[in-house]
Amino acid sequence: MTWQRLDRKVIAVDLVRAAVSLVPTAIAAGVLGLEPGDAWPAIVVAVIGVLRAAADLARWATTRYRITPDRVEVRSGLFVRNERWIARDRIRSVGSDARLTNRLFGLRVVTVGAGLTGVAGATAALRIDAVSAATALRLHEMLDATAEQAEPGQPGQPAPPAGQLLAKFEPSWIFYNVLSIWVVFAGAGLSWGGYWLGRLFGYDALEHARDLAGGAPIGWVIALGALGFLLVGSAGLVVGFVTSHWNFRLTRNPGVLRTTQGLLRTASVDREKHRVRGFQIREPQIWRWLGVAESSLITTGVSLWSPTAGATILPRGPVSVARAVAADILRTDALTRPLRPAPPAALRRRLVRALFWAAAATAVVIVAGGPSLAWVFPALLVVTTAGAVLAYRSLGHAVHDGFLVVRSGVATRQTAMLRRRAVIGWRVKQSFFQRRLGLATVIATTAAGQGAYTAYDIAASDVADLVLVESGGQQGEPFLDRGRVEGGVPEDQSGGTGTEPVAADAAHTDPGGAAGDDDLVLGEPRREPGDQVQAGRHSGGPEPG
Amino acid sequence: MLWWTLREVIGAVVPLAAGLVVFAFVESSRSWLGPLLIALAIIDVVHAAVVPSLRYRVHRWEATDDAVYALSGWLVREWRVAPLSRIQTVDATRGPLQRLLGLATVTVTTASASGPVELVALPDAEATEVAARLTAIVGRTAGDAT
Repeated sequence: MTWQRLDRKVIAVDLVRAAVSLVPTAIAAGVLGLEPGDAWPAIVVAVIGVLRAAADLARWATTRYRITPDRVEVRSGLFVRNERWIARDRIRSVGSDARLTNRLFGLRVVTVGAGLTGVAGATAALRIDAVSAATALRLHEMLDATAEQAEPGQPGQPAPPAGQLLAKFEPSWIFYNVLSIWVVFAGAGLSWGGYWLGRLFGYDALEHARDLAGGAPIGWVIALGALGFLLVGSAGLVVGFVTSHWNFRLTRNPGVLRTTQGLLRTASVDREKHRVRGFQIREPQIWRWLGVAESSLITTGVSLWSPTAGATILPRGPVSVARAVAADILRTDALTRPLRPAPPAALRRRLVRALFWAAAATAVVIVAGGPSLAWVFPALLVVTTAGAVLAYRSLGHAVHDGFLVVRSGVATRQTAMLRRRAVIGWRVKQSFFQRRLGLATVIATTAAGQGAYTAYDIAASDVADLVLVESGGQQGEPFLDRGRVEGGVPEDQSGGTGTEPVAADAAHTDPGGAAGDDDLVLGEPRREPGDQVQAGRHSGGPEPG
Repeated sequence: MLWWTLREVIGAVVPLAAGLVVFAFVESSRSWLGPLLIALAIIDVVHAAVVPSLRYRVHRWEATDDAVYALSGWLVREWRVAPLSRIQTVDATRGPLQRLLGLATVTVTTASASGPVELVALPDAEATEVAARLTAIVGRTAGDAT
């Protein structure tokens, strides 16, 4: 493929945008007859709009892109030449979206996401802005891993929702997505914006409201005001959600998972299936009681907060839909199967903590405000105990169908399902109290998603099982061996610092890990109390020294 | 162990010295700073006496042909495993204090943001050898190890 220009219609789009930005000024001057001094916000808008259109024209004139068999390249810049390329096998997602103006002219912006989480931050994605819808579709097909199998779509409609339908927009989702704390912020933002827009044209809404309120009792005014606030906020969120998620479809296409959505601005994102490592469901407690959850994919190379190729696969919706989609994508019902609850000791640990924090907070309050405030203790204790019970009930872990499932959380219950082959390391933590209670926290590290998924406070005797079962596949051997070592001391519950799995494991590792003194001779045997439990050295490796 | 002890001592001496300077020059702070400094000194002494030996007893590592293991911590024990097939980088670092004592720390990272495996304070030659061996093994593994 030779170097390509962007689509000519970008010029038309820029002209339209420049014209649109002039409209407020025109209204202010022509219709309202305002002096330039009063209409300065409109003029600022006009100037910025025209300048941006000009800059965009320059960008159009200088940008070239091409797709070679092994990479995607984009060159741009008038004064500062900028060249970027992404190796094709590092492409994590291909998306295309179109704003209203782009859509009117049949243009699409193609975004090629590579997984540079954190390194280059927001600039990690490469944007081709904009090409015709047909070209966008062609690019999609070229860049998708199994392009040769992809069904050709009709021109003028990029990324047609072909393939197997996994989920689609339901009107009831609107309700779930409006029900959030953002109602307040959206209400505040919209009211403020509306007020200033009114002020711009000489209408003072606050004054008007004050006149209306007149002699009404103050309580009613506040209640009505709050109600109005919430209504405005809800309406804003409804409009926002509907415009962005209208006609939402999640489909499985060859090689990719594709979402298409949007009313005015359409967006479609392809996520490479072979980068999917798992699925995560978040259920804040209140939503959990309503059966509502947020779901996201655990994917390598996609930043959690990246807007271009977000990990979020479904808008907030019924948890049953989320589970069904997870089962469809990963072809396992691991998320619906029961988890192994944490041992009672974990509840004890949380209750003790609840007692401690309630007591500590009470002590602070009493020191600050006098002993008459001692009544806060029972109140706090109720809250912290409820939290402890909730936290305990959230805990659970399991291994089903080669997936590790872990669940935890107090205010928000998080359930993560991670392909076991995606686990690239293990961390087992035991604090002093965990050792006493026979508990351990197992952290599975991975390159995808959050980077680590944690099973809190599982029974110490389960650690071996989890790491053992979990270690199947290519990384099996070391864990198998280690698993046995740990499994040798399941009676750890009784406590005793020398015999917990970790120390027993360490007992027959090579000495020298803490070498520091001159007199430490390599190869000096180093024995721990737990050593006799499993004296067999694992056969795998040579001495490191 | 000597290294840990020295590190504890240095870590303790700096705030104490800073406290003493303030104590000496700012008279108004003496009433509350005095007891605080004494408490701090006692904690530091106990800490420096107990923790390094605890750490020395707990810390272990092993590098086999399949994986790197490390056990660390004194109050919270942490056991880390990184399969060699998933290793991305191997670093050997030597701080000034470590150089003085002929020690080095080998850090093994995987593609995960969390969980680099640190082999703390190995003898210098051994660290070099381990790093070289791990690098050689990692070089033989194909793929981007995620």
